[in-house]
Amino acid sequence: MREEASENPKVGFRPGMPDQNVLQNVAGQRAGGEEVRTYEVHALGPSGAGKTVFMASLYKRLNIKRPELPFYLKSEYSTGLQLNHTYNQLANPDESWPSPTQRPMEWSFTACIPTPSGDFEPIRYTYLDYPGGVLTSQRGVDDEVIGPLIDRLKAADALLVLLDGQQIMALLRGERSGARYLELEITTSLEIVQQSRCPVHFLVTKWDLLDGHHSLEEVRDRLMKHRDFADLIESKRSGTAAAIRLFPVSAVGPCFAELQPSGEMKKVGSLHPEPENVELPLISVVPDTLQFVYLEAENRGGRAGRAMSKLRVSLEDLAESGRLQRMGKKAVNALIARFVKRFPKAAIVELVNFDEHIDDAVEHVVRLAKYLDAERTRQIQSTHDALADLALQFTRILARFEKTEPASVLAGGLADFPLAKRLAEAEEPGHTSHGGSG
Amino acid sequence: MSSIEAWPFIVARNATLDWRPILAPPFLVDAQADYLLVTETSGPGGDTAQLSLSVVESSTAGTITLVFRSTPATSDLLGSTPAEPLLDRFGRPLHVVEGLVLRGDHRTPPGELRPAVDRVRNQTLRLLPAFWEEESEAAATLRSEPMMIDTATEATSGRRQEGDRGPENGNLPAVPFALIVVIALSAAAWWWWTHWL
Repeated sequence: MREEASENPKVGFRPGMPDQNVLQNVAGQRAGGEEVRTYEVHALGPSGAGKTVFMASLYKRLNIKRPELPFYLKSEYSTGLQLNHTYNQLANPDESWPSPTQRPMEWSFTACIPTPSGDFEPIRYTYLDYPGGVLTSQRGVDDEVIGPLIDRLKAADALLVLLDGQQIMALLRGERSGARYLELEITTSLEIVQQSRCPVHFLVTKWDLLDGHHSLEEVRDRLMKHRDFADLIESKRSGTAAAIRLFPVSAVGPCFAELQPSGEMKKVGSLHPEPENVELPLISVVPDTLQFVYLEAENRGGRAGRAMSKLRVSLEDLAESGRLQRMGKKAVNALIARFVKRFPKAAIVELVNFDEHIDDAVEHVVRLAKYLDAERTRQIQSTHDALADLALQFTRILARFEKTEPASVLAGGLADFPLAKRLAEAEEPGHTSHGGSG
Repeated sequence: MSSIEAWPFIVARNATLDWRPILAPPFLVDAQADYLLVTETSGPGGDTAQLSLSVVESSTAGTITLVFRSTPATSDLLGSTPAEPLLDRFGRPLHVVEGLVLRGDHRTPPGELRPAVDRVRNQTLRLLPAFWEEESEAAATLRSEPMMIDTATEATSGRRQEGDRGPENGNLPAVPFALIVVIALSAAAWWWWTHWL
């Protein structure tokens, strides 16, 4: 759309703008390689919710392989530069907070698993960043860049709804601004969640403000007292098999910034930021999507879906995994046909790529069963193995978190999926766990 | 010599409201395309001397050229001194983008349009105090009046103005250098005339 007159040396050059225009990607770019899976994970939240800061902090946390995590994130050089620049500005106590986003941007990362035989990159994540005001102002929605962006948000594989921790704290304290936030500022985000059919993660940002004063359970209970929020959760719970979660996250961690009486956040001291839980929403996307796709296929896939249910029950001996795979494909076709029939105008539903994920979902089920059934070691020889292994490792991390923070599950969750539930139980301390992966 | 029509515009944020056009050409407002003034003028900003130029293809408003500058918003724009950086309610710095919209594709160097942008600056920035108080998402965009820009005149005055800014513009020292050459040649001619004739 924009064409810089770059042949003229006097024309202002604006650095720090990776060549990533959302318009070029309106149709959505699915996996380019034969085995790389793309997950469109998009954030929803009004201006100031922390969409840009969350992504910069997430990238900083995951661009190095951490011992407690099975993967690291890799990006295009320009993306890395831009996100590192944003994070450095965030982390530098002498600099102001990063400026608000003015133009929609798309970030793309791959999850890499290092192994003795090389790095495998089985998953690509894409993340849209945009000026949050477009979710609260009609004028932005009319724009020819923003309109398609909203459609793309609705067709995400997973949605991250950023709830401003500062406003959630005001809500818990009975202050008017907190109620206003729920009533007015996140209305559009909730509407998009209602119209989507995918796992949804609510992120309470700036958790460092609430930590030690309020629990996640209190936050959940207060949110569920709000009628719109409670009805939305109930509607999603009864209408889809998608998990809905609540994560406490902090892009900077404790004691880095303080809330001022004016409402501004002020950086204090010289402590280095220590992001907390920022990786969890991303980690949960894969297990939640695979579980969702699988259960959708079972529940709505007609005769094939019912056959899948029976096969899953008898999966313990692993002999039926081939038939399960075939039934999975049939069930997905039946599922898509039902969607199109039920929502003839909602063609966007077809964009949700069930086809791409169903094989992975079925394999995930088989791997879960294998993992629980016998001793195993990690043997990653291909991107395909890496994807299956990553899904399993992510499920283990999520199972541990669910155990620590049961209030984080608003709907669905691993408990709705018997094999994953068994995995969660196997992760409990003291339980004799099978498997030797690390 | 040619002249073109140009419309002033300004986009900004305030403590509560996110980026939005405050003043825009009527043809963009009517086409519901005025928000492109926000998305197509993004950048780090900060250099008051630097103008940027973008040629934008809009499916509803046609091809337009934006000539603009993005600067940090300070309290003197609201009439308060000393000038302090303006922040939003989260403590993030605010910026103001102001400039001109031209219909069509005008890849004229923005330096030549600088006087025109400077001329409308006071007119556009005058709208900021009222916007600073605005809290309504539904507040309408104001419609700007077109102005005529004589490109040749602006180009001449533009070069003159840039000459005052110092030696960073390579064209500017050419005038005094030419004068020196003329004086030197005259002196040589006078010396030759007085000594040899």
